[in-house]
Amino acid sequence: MSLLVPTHDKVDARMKFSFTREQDDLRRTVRDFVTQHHGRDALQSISHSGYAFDETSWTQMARQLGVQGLAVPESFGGSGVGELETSIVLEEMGRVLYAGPYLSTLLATTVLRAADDAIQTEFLPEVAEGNAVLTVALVEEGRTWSSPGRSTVAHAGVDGHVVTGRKVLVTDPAAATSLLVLAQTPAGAAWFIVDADAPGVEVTVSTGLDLTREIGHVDLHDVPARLVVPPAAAGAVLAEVLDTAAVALAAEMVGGATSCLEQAVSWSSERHQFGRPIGSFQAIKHRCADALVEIEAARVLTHYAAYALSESTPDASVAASMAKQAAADAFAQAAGNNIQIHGGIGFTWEHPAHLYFRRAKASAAFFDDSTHHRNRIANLLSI
Amino acid sequence: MHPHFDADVQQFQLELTDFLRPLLPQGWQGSGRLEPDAYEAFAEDLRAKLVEGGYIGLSWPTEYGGGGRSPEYQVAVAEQLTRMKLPPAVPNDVFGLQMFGSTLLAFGTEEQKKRFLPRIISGEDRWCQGYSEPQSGSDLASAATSAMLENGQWRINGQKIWTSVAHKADWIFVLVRTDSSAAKHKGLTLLACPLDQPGIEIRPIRQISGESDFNEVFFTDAMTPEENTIGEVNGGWAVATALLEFERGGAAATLAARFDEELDRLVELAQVRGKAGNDSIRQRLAWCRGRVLAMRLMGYKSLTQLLDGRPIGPEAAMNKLYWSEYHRVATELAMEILGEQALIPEGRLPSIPDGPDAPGAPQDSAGWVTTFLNARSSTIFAGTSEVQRNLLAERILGMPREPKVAAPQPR
Repeated sequence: MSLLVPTHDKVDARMKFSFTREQDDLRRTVRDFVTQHHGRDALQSISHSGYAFDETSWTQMARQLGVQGLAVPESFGGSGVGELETSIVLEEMGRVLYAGPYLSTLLATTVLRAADDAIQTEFLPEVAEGNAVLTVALVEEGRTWSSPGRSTVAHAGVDGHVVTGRKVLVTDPAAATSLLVLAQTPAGAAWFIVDADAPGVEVTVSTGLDLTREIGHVDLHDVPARLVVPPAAAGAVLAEVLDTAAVALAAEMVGGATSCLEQAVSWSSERHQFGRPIGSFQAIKHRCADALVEIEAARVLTHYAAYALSESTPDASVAASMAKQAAADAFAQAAGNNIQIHGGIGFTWEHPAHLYFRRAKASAAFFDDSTHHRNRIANLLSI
Repeated sequence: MHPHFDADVQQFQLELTDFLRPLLPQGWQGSGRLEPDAYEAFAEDLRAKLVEGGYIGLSWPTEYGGGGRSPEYQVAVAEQLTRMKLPPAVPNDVFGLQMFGSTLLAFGTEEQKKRFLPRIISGEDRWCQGYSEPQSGSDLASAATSAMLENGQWRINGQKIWTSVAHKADWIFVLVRTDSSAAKHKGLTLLACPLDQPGIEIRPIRQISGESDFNEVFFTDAMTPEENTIGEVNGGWAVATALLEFERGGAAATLAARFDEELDRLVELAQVRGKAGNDSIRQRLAWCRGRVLAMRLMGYKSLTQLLDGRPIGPEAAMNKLYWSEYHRVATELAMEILGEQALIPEGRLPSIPDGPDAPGAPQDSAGWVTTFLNARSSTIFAGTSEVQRNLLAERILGMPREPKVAAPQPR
């Protein structure tokens, strides 16, 4: 069997597994921005005082770089490019452990893009402008992303719907201006949009394993909500969100892993013991070489998955799961390797190594763990 | 981003299929169904047919008998052969067609190219590689087999080991010491030497599978004319190491097609053995699928760089480490799936001594067990995994070299 399905409609396209110049430029631009605004100092600040949403940087990122607008169609004020571009952004963000609501907003934007024009007109330009922060409220107590639960219900009233229920593992619940909520109607699950300021919305922020991601739960008590995606299409949209999340997280993790390896290699030539840099010992070299290989495998799978999603190829879902599980393994290995090579100081609170390690383990579990994704691969490939 | 062959190349694959269809008997299930002897004969017949059709040496310049096409075609043909469950090559082609041929194109004189290359394509000359010695394995630069120039002839004395398919070859490209007083890397020369002469003796080595795919080659006053010097005298190290790198480029992609086919058979084995519902087995098979796709993509990435005329990136240097370590894991999984059936291996032995068996191979336990045993050699030959990791760390990651121990004098 071949997982790569040949296309016959692109007549002039030669074999090319690489990015375009524009995509490389985007990478450079984003890298510069996040290094400047979300670099080591920002991580130090998170270590000392915890995560705080940087609203200035958020609006700058939208208006100067058009980052939030990448996923927004041109007719609604964005640049309407695809998953290759957003995965480049996420990879660069992952490198510095960018802490902010980009991923949350991206996933919610994916839901909104399935809505009718009226809804899209109302919300998407605000996303592109950086005026809105969105998130997805999906999972219920004791459930997972791929099987989120049915306890949250939406009742149709005179003036639209009202939603009641508890959603957990919500990212950026406090920063969000609107939440995309999956709730049950008599006709099945549907997506609704809820104003974060609406009466009956109760947000609780928790201290997560990943100190760089705002996480918590949201209780909804008869909250006014607008239908965004009706039951007939809601399942397909959920599937799209899950695949988008898998690839997005994979990209972040590849970026994070790459940085961990760079940090480890850099330290290994600075740190001298026994009269020589510790990187000159084969044990250290071999750990780094193995990490390099794992990261490269995850990287190519992630780039392919982004391509597959952007082209809606038949193997897109398999590719997304392959990327997520490979990136999770690679990041965990690289982040653990980084702590080990740093020795004692790698284990201190002050050093950023543990922030990367926490991000690696948390992201591995996010939007379903590797066991789930490998199981999904096995199912989709009829193993 | 377009990880597919272009329309012309895909068309070429279809033409190849039409060209080869007459060779395939009714109910063709793959060359893997043939017993090793029949497989060998079939592979030779196929090769002759491919030469006829101009499918060998596709990316070599036409003036030497090649097809003058872009490297994309070479990879595409290899993938298509696997898809049709045909032998990817005859064993000596790795050494002649891939390694030595590419080296000659880069380092050879015009006269050498005209003399050797067409005969490599036609298959008239079969090649093997004389590098390792009993005392020079990982430390290849310490090679001691000597060559002295006398009246326009090199006189070679010494011993090479781990020479694959020497017993089927006509020629050997051999790394010899031509200056014992120079630093070890600076006293080596690469020579092409005919094997059929009284001064050369070939002895098979029996390996852990019980088979003999490797040999020792003894040189006692073996001779080869000066015109068979490849590259500069005493400049052999650069030539020899470049040759090892020519295995890279698109090679990862073509190997991936074979590993993919092997994985299809492994999944089928799990189903036949009633273990396809086992969670642990499913997890590992799914992991393998991702691993092989990544292998193919890394190959496409290198191929892209080749087509763009850019220098090949780090993923090419990982290729050997990646596939050999993967194969160790995949064959371990095969053993686990076989369970008690591995205790008394039965049936057909593999037709290919390293890497995946021929496409369409049956589910005989002897095939899987032998492939598993041979997989232990893959992490050793052509640069051990340890050496590969050192190279990746030093050349790609820029990590500091180990301090040198005072080197003993070369013998």
